[in-house]
Amino acid sequence: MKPELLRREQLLFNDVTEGTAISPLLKGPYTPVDMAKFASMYGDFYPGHYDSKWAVEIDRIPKAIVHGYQLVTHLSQLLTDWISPDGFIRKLSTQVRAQVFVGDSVTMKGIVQKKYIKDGESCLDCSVWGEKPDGTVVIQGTAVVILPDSQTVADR
Amino acid sequence: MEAETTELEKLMTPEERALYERFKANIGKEFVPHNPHSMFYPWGTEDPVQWSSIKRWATINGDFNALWFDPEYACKSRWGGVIAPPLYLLAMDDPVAVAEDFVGEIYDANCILRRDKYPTFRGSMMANAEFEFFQPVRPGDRIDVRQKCTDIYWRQGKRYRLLFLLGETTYTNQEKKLAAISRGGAVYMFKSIESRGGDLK
Repeated sequence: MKPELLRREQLLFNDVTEGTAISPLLKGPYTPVDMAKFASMYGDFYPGHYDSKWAVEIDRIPKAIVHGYQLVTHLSQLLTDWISPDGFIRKLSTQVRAQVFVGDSVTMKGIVQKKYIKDGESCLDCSVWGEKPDGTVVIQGTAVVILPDSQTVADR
Repeated sequence: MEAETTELEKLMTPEERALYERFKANIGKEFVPHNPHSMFYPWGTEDPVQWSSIKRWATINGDFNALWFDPEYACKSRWGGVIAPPLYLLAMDDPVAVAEDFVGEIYDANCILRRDKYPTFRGSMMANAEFEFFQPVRPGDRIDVRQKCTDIYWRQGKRYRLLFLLGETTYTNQEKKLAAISRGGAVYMFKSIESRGGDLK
């Protein structure tokens, strides 16, 4: 059976205040199959990303390691799930902080830091991050997203 | 920071120096990336973006937003049709790809530094990644991808000497509109000098 598609009622600029939390997004537990599939799309087949034997023997890390860009992709989904369909990510800036291994789960989270209008666009500055169940932050960053206001929706 | 770079530059092994100089000479030179390991774009990005590729990207990432899958839903949005998730651009290439002529000479088939050629190399990791988006990517778009190396420098890490390689990638659509720019870094870890000879197993 196909997964159910996410259809959001549009979040508006006026619905959000500084301090508003973004609905969290749980990802994982990451499996070697997830990681190999991501490798095929992203084009990085380094064995340390899906072969734990390689990770231990060659890279001397405990297990196969999730691609950093898979985490960035999941952080972008945190935002698109929240701002769709009409919102737009203008900027996403991230840093990987800790290694994520096969079997780990990560919850992507975010919070609105600032609301402002720039060049006629309704912008939100957000802090975004991903954390393991024990609270370890594995990726963190900032994002600028653009949301429609009630007028732009009425005009369409 | 510059003093740190200069100090670490003095510690380079001959092969590390050759690598460093090779990258230095390449800074600012634009190239069209080609990643034969990409299952979507093994022959470059000359082919139009396929809706099926967008759906595959989203499915594998567990991202079931109707905006990528359902034309009826997407038509009612401001985009007027299906678009790709923003990070779909990674299927075309990331901020720090390497010039094709480096593969073989400097990198192995996995685009990892050749360990036979660089015995002090311990591994690599992703540094920062930044994306600016201007236009969504849509099925049928032809995206012109251009990359360049923007900087290379040394830093001392806790365990390793770290070589930071920064890059920038632009993604432009067939209407000559800039869809996105990505900037980011990769870190190559090299054995610290104190442990040279002792740590390499």
